[in-house]
Amino acid sequence: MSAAICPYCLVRPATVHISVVDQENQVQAIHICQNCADQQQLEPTAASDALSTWIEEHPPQAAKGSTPFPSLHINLQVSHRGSEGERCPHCGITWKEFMAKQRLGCAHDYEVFADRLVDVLEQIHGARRHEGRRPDQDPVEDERHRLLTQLEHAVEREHYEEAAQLRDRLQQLDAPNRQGESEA
Amino acid sequence: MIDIGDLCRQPMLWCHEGGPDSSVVLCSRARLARNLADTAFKRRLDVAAQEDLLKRLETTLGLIFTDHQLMHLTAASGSLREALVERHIISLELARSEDPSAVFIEGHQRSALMLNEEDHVRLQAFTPGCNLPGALAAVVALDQRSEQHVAWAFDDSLGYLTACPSNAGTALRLSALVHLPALAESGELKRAARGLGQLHLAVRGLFGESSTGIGHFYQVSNQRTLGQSEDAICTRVEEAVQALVGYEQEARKALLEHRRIRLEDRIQRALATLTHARLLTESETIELLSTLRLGIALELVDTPLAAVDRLLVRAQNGHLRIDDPRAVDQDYRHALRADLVRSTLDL
Repeated sequence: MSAAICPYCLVRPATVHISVVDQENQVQAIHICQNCADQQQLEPTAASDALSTWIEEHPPQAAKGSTPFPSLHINLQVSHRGSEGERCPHCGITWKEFMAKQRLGCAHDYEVFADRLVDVLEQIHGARRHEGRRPDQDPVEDERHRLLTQLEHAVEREHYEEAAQLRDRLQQLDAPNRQGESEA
Repeated sequence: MIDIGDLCRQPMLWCHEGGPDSSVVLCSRARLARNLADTAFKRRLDVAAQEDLLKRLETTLGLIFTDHQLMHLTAASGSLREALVERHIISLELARSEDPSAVFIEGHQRSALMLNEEDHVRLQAFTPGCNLPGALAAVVALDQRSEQHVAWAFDDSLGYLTACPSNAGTALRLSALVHLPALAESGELKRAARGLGQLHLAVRGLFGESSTGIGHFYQVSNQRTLGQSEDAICTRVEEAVQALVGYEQEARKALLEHRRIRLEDRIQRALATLTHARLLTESETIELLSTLRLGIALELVDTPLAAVDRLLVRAQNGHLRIDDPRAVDQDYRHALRADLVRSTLDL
């Protein structure tokens, strides 16, 4: 893919990449063409030196006893219950293989490696327990709850036309129940 | 059988149905990951077992989703896969995969079901503009249809079970595709992204592979899927995106107030290049369309927003190669893109 266009002149390619460190020690990237960099008096060399210095002063630290989970950019603290060679009897995956590839082998692994996976889940999600929908949920109740939430949002944002449509859909959902009540 | 040419010529949902806050939020997307309880995840299956899985999914889901058409990806060309990524119908991971795979696509491209991506099935639904509750409702409706006939892998305590633990629980990924040129220009974007990170929301560039985002188009999505209900996740993402919309609108007003002439100059230069250039690269086009899009939002040009949003998709490499197989040649493709842009904007 070709270089991005310089956002200052909109003509030349942004071939100069400068990293600067702000007051909060965060690195910011600027992409600019050489011509505009000269005009703005930006000096890549000086900025790069600042970046190199910052990296030296802030090397990545792994917590003691942690394992890197690169795709999630976190270091997991996993208690070492069970052996790394323990294998799922359904798909054959070991814990070691999971940590290397960051992917489980089958749904049964959640049971086989339950103790360790709960630690992993806690660190990724900050939670150990599912609070959402279930397969056996009544779909009509599910839909009613969802429509009510959307209706509340629409009213809050003063989208009254949308709110009216949602109200109509809720009424249609409740219509069979009302008919049953009147017949009783 | 889906005609890929017809599919690619259809405008994206948000082009013909402007949604709430569409000058900042192009569309909202909800994705659910689901797996069969009795079958291993992809990486533990050999090719024959994956083909068998795919056939089962195609048969079962084909009977349920009669309003969706099936497209096989296994032997599909690179251009076709690229075009489907450009339309956000399949993920980059699925496009690059050499494993047996397929996708069900709804007639108006409001929803799609990816088969044999990282998980067995990934259901997704789109709504124009900022309407995450609408996208969530649509994807839940797809899930409810599927659950009448399929037993998905589910645990009472951990929720829906997925190949990567980072998706377990609700297995819901809610995203908003946003355009934030003013925040980027004001230098406030990184601060906003850090704020979103503290809310466990991820920000990624929509075009290109880096997180900086060509044209300042980004995808904002939840990172956590366990421990909150789907509605709670939706509320969190919606509130954050609404705040982002507010900041972007304020930054646009500030640009107009303090840097009007420079802004007008950039927008007019972008319009001039787009309507007169004879060669345009993909990234250059996205950057210029981004500037033009900002100009439209600020009412500094009267180009229709739908035309720009159509070009953001149709001017990409995969779409051009589908339109004209000769676009495999880079120079030809740059010229073809320039022709398309001129003819679309020459209103």
